Amino acid sequence: MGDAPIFTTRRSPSAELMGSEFVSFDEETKTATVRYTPPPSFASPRGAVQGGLIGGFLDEVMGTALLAATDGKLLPLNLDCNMSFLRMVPLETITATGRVIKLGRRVAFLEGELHDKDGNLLARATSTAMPTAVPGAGQ
Amino acid sequence: MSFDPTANAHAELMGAQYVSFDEDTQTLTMNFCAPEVFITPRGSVQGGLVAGFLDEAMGWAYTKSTDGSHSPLMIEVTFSLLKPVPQGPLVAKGRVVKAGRRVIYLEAELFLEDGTMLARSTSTAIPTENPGLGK
Repeated sequence: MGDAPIFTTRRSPSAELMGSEFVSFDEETKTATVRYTPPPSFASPRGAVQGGLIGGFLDEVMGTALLAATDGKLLPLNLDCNMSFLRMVPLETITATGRVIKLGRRVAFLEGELHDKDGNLLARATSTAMPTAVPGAGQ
Repeated sequence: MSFDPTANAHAELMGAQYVSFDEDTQTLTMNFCAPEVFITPRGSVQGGLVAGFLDEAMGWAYTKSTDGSHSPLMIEVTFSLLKPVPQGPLVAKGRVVKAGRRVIYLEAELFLEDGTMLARSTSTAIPTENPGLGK
């Protein structure tokens, strides 16, 4: 049928909210690249994305990486996530990369990064997650 | 002092409502309402976005502890997701663990209304003048 892989098309309400646009997945390095455009409702009084909500993009791209690395079969159920905020995340399109560091049977280790349009690193995250079947898979 | 957590776009999105602040324990309680747009195909709030609630509770705890003069600029946030966070009402407690001159340590917990703990976080931040003042 030539259906596009699930990780290129999956649009949950949360992915929709964050203006997610799939860019690419590199098999060799297990790295997914996705662009996001933060909605105005993510703005803090500083005029940038509220720190915690930056986790939304990082989680989403780490999830995309695991989904792509498992041919659309598994999504991470995050247990612990550690985020560092290096610069303000502006309310404009940003590029995110997510990578599967190790996929075990019970635990997956993931990492994510956000860059602005000039290539500056804005934020990074590492996550410990449980790989679980994609909800609604097989539909 | 002005103390209106709903005055910001992101706080409105999360349905943020101030409840109380306890001086003795430096603990702030606030309510949220997780919106439908935060939901993933699992039917619960996307894990990363849970940090939005935790950040808000930690941030307001510090802001309130300074009588509104300062806000934390988060440098690092670590959070654990204990249970799926459903759409709808939530309660958060944010606490100032230590407020130094250059570094602040904060923590927060997120609950269902019945007291079931859903998530917890710690943060390292630096104090800055409140960007929301003077509006």
